[in-house]
Amino acid sequence: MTKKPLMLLILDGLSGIMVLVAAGLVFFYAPVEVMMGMVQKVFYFHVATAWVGMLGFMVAAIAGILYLRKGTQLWDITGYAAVEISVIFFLTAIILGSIWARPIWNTWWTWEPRLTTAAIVELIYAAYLLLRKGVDDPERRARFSAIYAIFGFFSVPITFISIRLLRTIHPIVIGNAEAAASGGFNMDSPMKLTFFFSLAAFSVFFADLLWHRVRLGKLQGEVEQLRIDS
Amino acid sequence: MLSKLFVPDTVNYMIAGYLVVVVMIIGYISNLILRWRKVTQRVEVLRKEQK
Repeated sequence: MTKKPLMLLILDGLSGIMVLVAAGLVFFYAPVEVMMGMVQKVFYFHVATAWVGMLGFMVAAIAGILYLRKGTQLWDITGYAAVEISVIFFLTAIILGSIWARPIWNTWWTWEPRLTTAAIVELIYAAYLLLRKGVDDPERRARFSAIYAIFGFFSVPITFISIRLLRTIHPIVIGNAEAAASGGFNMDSPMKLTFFFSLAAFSVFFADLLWHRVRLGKLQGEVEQLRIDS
Repeated sequence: MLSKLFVPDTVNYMIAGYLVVVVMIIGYISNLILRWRKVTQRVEVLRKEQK
């Protein structure tokens, strides 16, 4: 159990290298956007961290469905692990957005649709982590978490489409921007390469972290079982 | 040349942003390592107690 699988070691190395290469592309390859200056470079990791956040919430919902269907403890551990990682990454995305907004929108925060729905998503999943700790019975906790993750996931697509459906100042970089959007820009080829590579790098990094967190969850389950047995 | 003169100086915000990314990632990985060590020790103690 404690011995690290070779595939995980490879994934550790691959994700580390990919994130470093992504950072290299951001700082040394992608051009400086003329209207916003260097702060525009925050965009690459802002979107990548938000993407990982949403991906993890989706993994948690799928793990929830699988747990309810099969009742396997592994799916409960996977769902919990995915939410924990995603809460960290989604919070990072929100903070990065706020830092970008200060010089571009002249404010750290505004209650427009994307920011508001993103804050709600973060709070929903932070509540998931807190409420989970409040249930002692492992089976009840797993069932409750699975149902919560499935219903909680409805908030994620709402956040994603909010800037496409509602009037907002949040820019849409891919697709047609709302007329009121502020801080948007057209990506040239080096920007697109950096953007998509960052998304790929953070996806691999997420898979790596998820594997580690699931291993930790299994070990915690073993401790719980040993306590019951003794 | 002219465009370089008018590019706004927002480098401090970029540094702040990437500092947040580094702190969050290193913080979470450190937290995972600490929890792993703690749980591993706990498992070993419980296994010894069972024997």
